[in-house]
Amino acid sequence: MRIRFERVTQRYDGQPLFTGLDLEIPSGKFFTLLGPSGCGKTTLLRMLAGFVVPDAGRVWFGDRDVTQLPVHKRGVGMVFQDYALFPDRSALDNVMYGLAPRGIAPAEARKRALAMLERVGLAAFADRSPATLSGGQRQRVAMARALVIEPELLLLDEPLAALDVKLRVELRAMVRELQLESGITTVFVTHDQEEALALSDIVAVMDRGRVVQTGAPSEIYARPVNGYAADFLGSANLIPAGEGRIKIVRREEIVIGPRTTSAGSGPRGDELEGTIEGVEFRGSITGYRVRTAHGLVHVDTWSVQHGRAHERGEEVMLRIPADARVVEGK
Amino acid sequence: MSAVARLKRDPAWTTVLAGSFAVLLVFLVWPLLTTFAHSFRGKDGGFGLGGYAVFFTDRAYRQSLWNTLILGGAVTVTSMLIGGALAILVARCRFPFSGWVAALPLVTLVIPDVVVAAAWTLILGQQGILNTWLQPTGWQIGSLYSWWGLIFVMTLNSYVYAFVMMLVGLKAVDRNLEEAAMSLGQPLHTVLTGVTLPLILPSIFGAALVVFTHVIGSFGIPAILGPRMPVLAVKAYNEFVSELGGNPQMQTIMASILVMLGVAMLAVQKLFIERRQYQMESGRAPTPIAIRGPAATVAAALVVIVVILSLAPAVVAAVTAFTPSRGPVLSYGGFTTAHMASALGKSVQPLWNSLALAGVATVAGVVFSVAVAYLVVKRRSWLTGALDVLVMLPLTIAGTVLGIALVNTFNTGWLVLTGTWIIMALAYFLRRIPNSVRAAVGPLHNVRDSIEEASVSLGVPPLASFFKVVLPLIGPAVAAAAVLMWVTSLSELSATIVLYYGGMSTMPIEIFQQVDSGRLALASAYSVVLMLAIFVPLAIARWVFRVKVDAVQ
Repeated sequence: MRIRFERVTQRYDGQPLFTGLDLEIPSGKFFTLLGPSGCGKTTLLRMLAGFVVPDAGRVWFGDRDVTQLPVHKRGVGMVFQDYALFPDRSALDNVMYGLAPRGIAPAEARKRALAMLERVGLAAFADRSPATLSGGQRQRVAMARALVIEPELLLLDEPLAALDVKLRVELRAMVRELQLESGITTVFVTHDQEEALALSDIVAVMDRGRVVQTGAPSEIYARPVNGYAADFLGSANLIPAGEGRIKIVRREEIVIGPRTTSAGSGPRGDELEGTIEGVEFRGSITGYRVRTAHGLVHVDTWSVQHGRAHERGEEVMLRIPADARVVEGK
Repeated sequence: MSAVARLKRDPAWTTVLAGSFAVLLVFLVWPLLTTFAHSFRGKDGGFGLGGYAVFFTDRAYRQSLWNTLILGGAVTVTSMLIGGALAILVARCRFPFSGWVAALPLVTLVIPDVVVAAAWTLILGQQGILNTWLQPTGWQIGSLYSWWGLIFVMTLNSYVYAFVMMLVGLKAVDRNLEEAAMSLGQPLHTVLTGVTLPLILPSIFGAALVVFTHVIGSFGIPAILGPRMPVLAVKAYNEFVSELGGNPQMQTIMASILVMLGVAMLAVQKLFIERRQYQMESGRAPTPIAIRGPAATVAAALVVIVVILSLAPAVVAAVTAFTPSRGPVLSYGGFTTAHMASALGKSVQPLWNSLALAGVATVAGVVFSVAVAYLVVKRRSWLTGALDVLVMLPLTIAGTVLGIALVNTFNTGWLVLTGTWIIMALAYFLRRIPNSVRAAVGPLHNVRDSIEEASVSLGVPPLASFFKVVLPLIGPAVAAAAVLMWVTSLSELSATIVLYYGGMSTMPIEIFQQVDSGRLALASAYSVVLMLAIFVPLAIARWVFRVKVDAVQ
C-alpha cells in the first residue's frame, strides 16, 4: 500500500512543525524516518497511526483519504518503543488481542497467534507474562502482536532503542527478515544512523520539520545534498571550501600519514596539516581526531592496514581526495 | 491542536467530560452560588451587604467566626506537633512499639467523630469515669465543655491527617540527597536543616492546611463539646433547625464565609504549595536509625500513649454499652444487655439507611471518580484542569454548609430533591469524591499511554480499550477507594443531619441525638453497632480480599 502525505501542516506547542510537507512512501518498502529528537519524525509516524491529526493537509493510504479516520479503524500494526505489552495478559493473549475485534473466532485466533509466536521464536514462551520476559523477548511479542493482524502498514517507533547493542543487531536482522517475508509497507522511526543504513530500502533524513533528502541509503551516503544529510547519515567531515561552500569528506576517505618536515614545503592543495588530539581503537577500525586549521577532522583507518599507529600529539598530514563532493552552505 | 479540536476527535470521552461537568455544575456549583446569592438578600427582599454588616457587628455572630479561627489554628498547631513528631520518629528511627502506628489510620477510620465526642464526655465529663475516680481525693478536672476539652478531643480526631501526610512527605525524600550532602562534608544537623527541611516544607504546609480545613468544617465534636464556644459550622446548623425560625439570610452568610475560608485554603494549596513540591527521583527513603536508652523510652511512650488515646473511645463505648444506667448516671462494674438489645432493635432501620445510602453514593462515586481521574490524567487540557479543581472543592466545604446549600437549592424549581433519600446520597457522593478521585489518579499515572494506544491501534475503540486494558490495571486501587468511600460514608454526620427527614435517620444521626438528650449508654450501644458495621467490611476487604485500605483518605 502506497502512503502519501499531502501538504501536511502541523503546529506543535504553538510553533509550526510542518509547513506544507509532502512525502511519499512506496508500497512494500522499508522506509525509515531518520533525524534527531524534535525533528518531527515521531509526529509523522503518529499521524499514520491516527493518534495525531494534521492541522491542514491530507494523509493517503493508497487512494483512500484517512486523514480523519479514527485509530481503531485504520488497521495499522504498530510497535512501540516501550513495547506497550498488556502486563496482565500472557504473551499469547497479547498476540491474540487484535484478532477478536476482527471477528476471528477464539480457536482460530489462538492458532494464528501461536504460529506468529513460532515465527518470532517464542512459541515456548506463549504462557509467560510480559514481566517474566527479557527486553528482547518482549520486543518480539510486540512484533508478533502487530504482525498477526496482517496489517497493510507496519509502524515501528524506535523499537530497538531500549535494547543493548548486541541484542539490537540481532533483532534488527529479524525485523528486516519478517518485513521481507511479508512484504508489508513499513515505516521505521529512528535517530540511529547505523540502524537506518542497515535496514532501509529508503531513508528520509529529517531536520526541524523538513525532509532534507530521500533516497536509498547508499545513494544518500554517496551523494548527500548538503552537510546536514552527510553528517546525519555516515558522520562526514565538513571542510570549508571557500565562498560559503563546504566539502563533504567521509572519514574513511582521508589518508593519514606522517608530516614530511622538509623545509619550505607547505601543504599542497589536497593536503591538510594537523595534530592528533585523540586515538580510538575500535577493533577493525582505528579512529583519529585531528586538529587542523579548519577545525577538528575525524579519520577512520583499517587497523590492520597501516603498520604503525599514530600517537596522540603526533603531527600528521591528511590527504583529502580531490573529487570530494562540494555543496552549498551547511 | 486546541483543546476543543482534540475533544472533537474523541467523541466518547468528550461525552464523559461533558457529563462530569454537568454533574458538578448542577449539584455543587449551582447550590454554592445559590447560597452565595441568598446571602445578599435581606428580609425585605432587597439586595445588598446588609446581612454581612449585621454579621460583623453582632457580637454573637462575630464571636462564632473568631471561635472557628481559634479552634482551627489551635488544633492545627497541636495536630502538627503530635502528628509531625510521630511521623519523624517512625520515618527516621526504630524503637520498641514503633510498629503500632500502622494501626492509627485504621483506628481513625473505624471510630466516627461523633463516637469520639461521646466517649470523651464519658471519660472526662462532669460525672465521667475520671472524675468519679478522683472523687475520694477531692480533686476534679476542669469542665470538658471548654476550650481545652474541645481542642484536646479535636486534636485526637485530626492529628492522623497530619501524621499520614508528613509520613508520605518524609518517605519521599531520596536518601541519596542527604548522602550527597554529607559526602560534601556537611555535618548531619546542617544536612537535616539545610537539605531535608526545605524538601519536606511543602508537605508540612500541605498537612497543616488539610488539618485546618478539616477542623473548621467539622461538626460532630464542636456540636457536642462546644455549646459555649459555637463555631460557624455549628451555629449555621442551629440557625437552620431553630424552631423559632432562624434567620435564613444569616445561615447563608455563615455558609458563604465558611466556603470562602475553604476556597482560600484550596487557593493557597494550588498557588503556593503545589508549585513548590519538588519532583524527586523516586529513590530509596533514608533507612531508620535504631535508637535506645531514654530516647527510645520517650519515643515508645509517645507512640503507646497516642495509640491508647486514639483507641480509648472504642473501648469506652464498648464497655458503656453494657453498663447499667439510670438516666444519665452510669454504674460501671455492672452488666446489662438492655442497651444493646434496645439498640439492636431500634437500629435496624437507621443502619439499613446508612448502608443503602452509602452503597448508592459509593457506586455512583466510584464510576464518577474513575472517569474524572482518567480525564485529568490522560486527556490533559485546561478543561480537565478545571475539572480537577472543581472536583476538589467539596474537600474545603463544611458538611453543614453543603447540606444547607443543597436543601435551599433543591426545595423548589425544576428539580426538587429536598426530603428525598436522593439528596442524602448526593451529599455522601459529593463529600467523598475528592478522595476517590485522588485514589484513582495515582495508579492511572502509572499506566503508560502507549498501553492504551496499543489497544486502540489493534482495532479496539477508545472507550472499549479503557475497559479492556486500563481498568483491569487500576482495579485494585479502585476497589480500595470504593471500600474507603463506603465506610467513611457510614460515619458521615454533618451534611446529613441537615438533610435527613422522618424515617430516613442514619446511625451517626441517631448517636448524635442520643448524646444530645443525655442517653449516653444507649449512644454507646449504637456506636458499637456502627463501629462493627464499619470494621467488618473493612476487615473482610483487607484480610480476605487483600485490598489495600490502610492509606487514610
